[in-house]
Formats: sequence, C-alpha cells, structure tokens
Amino acid sequence: MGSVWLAIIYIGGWILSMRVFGYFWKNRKLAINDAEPWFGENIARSQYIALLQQDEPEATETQLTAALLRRAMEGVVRVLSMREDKQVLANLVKQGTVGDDIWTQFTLSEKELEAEIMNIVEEANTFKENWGQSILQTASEMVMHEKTKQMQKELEVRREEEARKQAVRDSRKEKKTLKEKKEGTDAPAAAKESTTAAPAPAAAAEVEATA
Amino acid sequence: MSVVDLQIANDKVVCAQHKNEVCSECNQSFLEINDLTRHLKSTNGQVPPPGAVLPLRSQQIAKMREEGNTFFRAQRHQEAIVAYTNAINIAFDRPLWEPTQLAREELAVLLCNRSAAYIARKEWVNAYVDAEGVIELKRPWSKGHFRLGRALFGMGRLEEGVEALKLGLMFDPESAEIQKALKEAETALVAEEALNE
Repeated sequence: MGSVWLAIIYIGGWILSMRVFGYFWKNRKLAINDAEPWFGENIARSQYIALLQQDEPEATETQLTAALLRRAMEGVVRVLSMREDKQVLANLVKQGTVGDDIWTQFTLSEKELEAEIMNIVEEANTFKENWGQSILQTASEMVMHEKTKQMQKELEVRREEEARKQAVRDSRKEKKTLKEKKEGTDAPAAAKESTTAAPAPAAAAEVEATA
Repeated sequence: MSVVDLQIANDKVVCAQHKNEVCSECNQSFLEINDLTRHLKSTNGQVPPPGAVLPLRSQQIAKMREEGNTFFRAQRHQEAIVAYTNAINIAFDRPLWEPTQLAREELAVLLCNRSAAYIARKEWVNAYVDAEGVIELKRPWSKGHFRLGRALFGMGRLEEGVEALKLGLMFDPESAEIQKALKEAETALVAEEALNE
C-alpha cells in the first residue's frame, strides 16, 4: 500500500516539476518576444491599413496605390538599415561587447521584416498583375529620389543661416573700417576695399547651355 | 501597433480629429500620400515601370533653362534668375519614381547657372548656397568649385575661396578659368596679409 503512494508521489513530483519548468521556459520565450522590436512603429503600414478600412468615403485606388508605395518605401529603408546593422552587430556579439539576446531580437525583427516585404508584394499583385515584381525596384528609386528632394529644404535653411552669418561679418568689417578711419589711417581702409573688389567678377561668367 | 485615425475630405487624406494634412497634435503626416496621389493623377493612377520618365516635364525644364541662358547672355541677370528658379522648382517636383540620377544632373546644371547669375549680381550668399548645392550633387565637377570660390571671395572669405578653387583644380587641372581666378585670389591674399602686418 505504501509503495503505491510512493509511486504516485514520484510520478506526481515529476509532473509538477515538468510543469514548473514549462512555466518558466514559456515566460523566457515571452520575454524575448516582448523585447523591443528593432524599429519603432511602422507608420506607413498603419496608414495603408487605415486607408483600406475607410468606407465613407472609400479611399480611391490612386490613394491606396500611393499609400502602398509609401509602405514599400519604408520597407526598403528598413531592409537597407538592417543590412548595415547586421555586420556591425555580428562583430559586436562575437567580441562579446553585446549580449546574445540582442542578436535574437535582431533575427526576430529580420524575420518580421521579411514577412512584411512579402506582404507588400502580395498586396501589390492585388492592384495589378505582376506589380509585385517591380514595386520594390520602384520603391528603391523613390527612396533615393526623396533624399535629393530633401536637399531643396536644406538649401533654404542654409540660405538663411549664411545670410545671417554674412550680415554679422559685414557689420564687423564696417566697425573695423570705421575705427581705422577714426584713428586717422585712411590709406589701409581704402586699400582694404580694393582688395575685396579685385577678385570680383571681371571676366564674363560662362554658362552651361547643355546638360 | 496603434490605429491611425484618418478621414478623406475633398480628395485629400487628413487626420480625423483636426482635418489637417500634417498634424503635430495627432503626430501624423499624410502629405506624402497626398503628394504621391497628385503625381499619380498625371499618369492615370498607373505606376510607371522603373526608369520611365514623362517627357513633358523634361521639356518644360529644358525650355526654362534655355530662357534663363538667353537672359544671362543678354546681361539680364535678374530675369535669368527667375527663369532658372522656375526650372529648379519643376525639377525638384518630379514624381519620386523618376530616376534620381536624371533629376540630379538637371539640378546641378541649373544651380550652377543660377549661381553664375547671382555672382554677376553680387548676391554672394545666394551664389554660395547654390554652389554648395552643385558640389553636393556632382562633386567631381570643377565648375561647382569654381563658383564656390568666386562666391567666397565676394563674401570676403579669401582663404576658403582659395581652398575651393584648389579642389576644383584637382578635379580638372586643365581649367583655365580656375587657374586665372586662383592667381588673382592668391595675389589678393598676399596683399591683404601685407596689410595686416
């Protein structure tokens, strides 16, 4: 009779410890999954999905096309970014500077990104046959082109900055020449004006007629 | 993943709460989608295959550039600047799917010409900014460095101007105009240093 109890306790003990182990193991896996994704929120994707769900009024096909293109652009940007990061991260992990869990985080995000890209291609095919093939290429070109466009904004910002700086420089020069005049040294002031004028355009500037 | 609260009003995508295209409170921007939609209208909603260019835009840009060149040769620099600026705005407004390289080539030439016009009018800061743009787009092009040098001289930044010219000369050692400008600049620099002693 006693040995039956012993057997039951033995088996029960095993089942209990298996359960306890399983509980901690699951929690560990969940911890990794809850870890921060590599990138923040994918806004382009959220916007696309929100547009798809609109029903009063419905989004036009053109608007959805535009939203899908933006989503593809974001996908391309992330793929390029991860490619860059991968090498660096691999080295860091090898050196031991950075923990293994970050590597796991990275590979999980990589898989997620792969799935997202496939998703985008599938969506594209629902718009037009075979668009899935070219949408990523188009998106890559668009990403590069957008950088060029940002130049325009930067040029404007720089324009204002330089204008400010130049105004400061000019007022300093004026003060300096006024001071020198007061000190009765007229000659250097006149000479200074001529040196800044000398390199000024005397020859006709050439202009490109063809690209 | 949060839900994006948007609505469609007057054919534009805007935020649901404030009806803004770009809303800092909702922290959303639908400007890109709306711009793209606008560009897609000109191709009937079809996304062109990669590398395709609409000839109309290139023609407009070329026409404006030629106008600018004509004004420039006639010494009407202000009008040249206006024509170049129009061309530049059109070039910057190309739909994103058109090849980047094409846009960059166009812009480099346009900015270089506009910089020359600014130099002629002694608007040094504008010339400087445009020249920097040219260099960013097409660094090995000696003309960009040439314009930068001239602009820097006009601003009184002689040493930086000499550096710019030297860099330009490195890319194009045969350039007569750079060599000439460099000689003038170095003489001016020597004269200024003598003054300061």
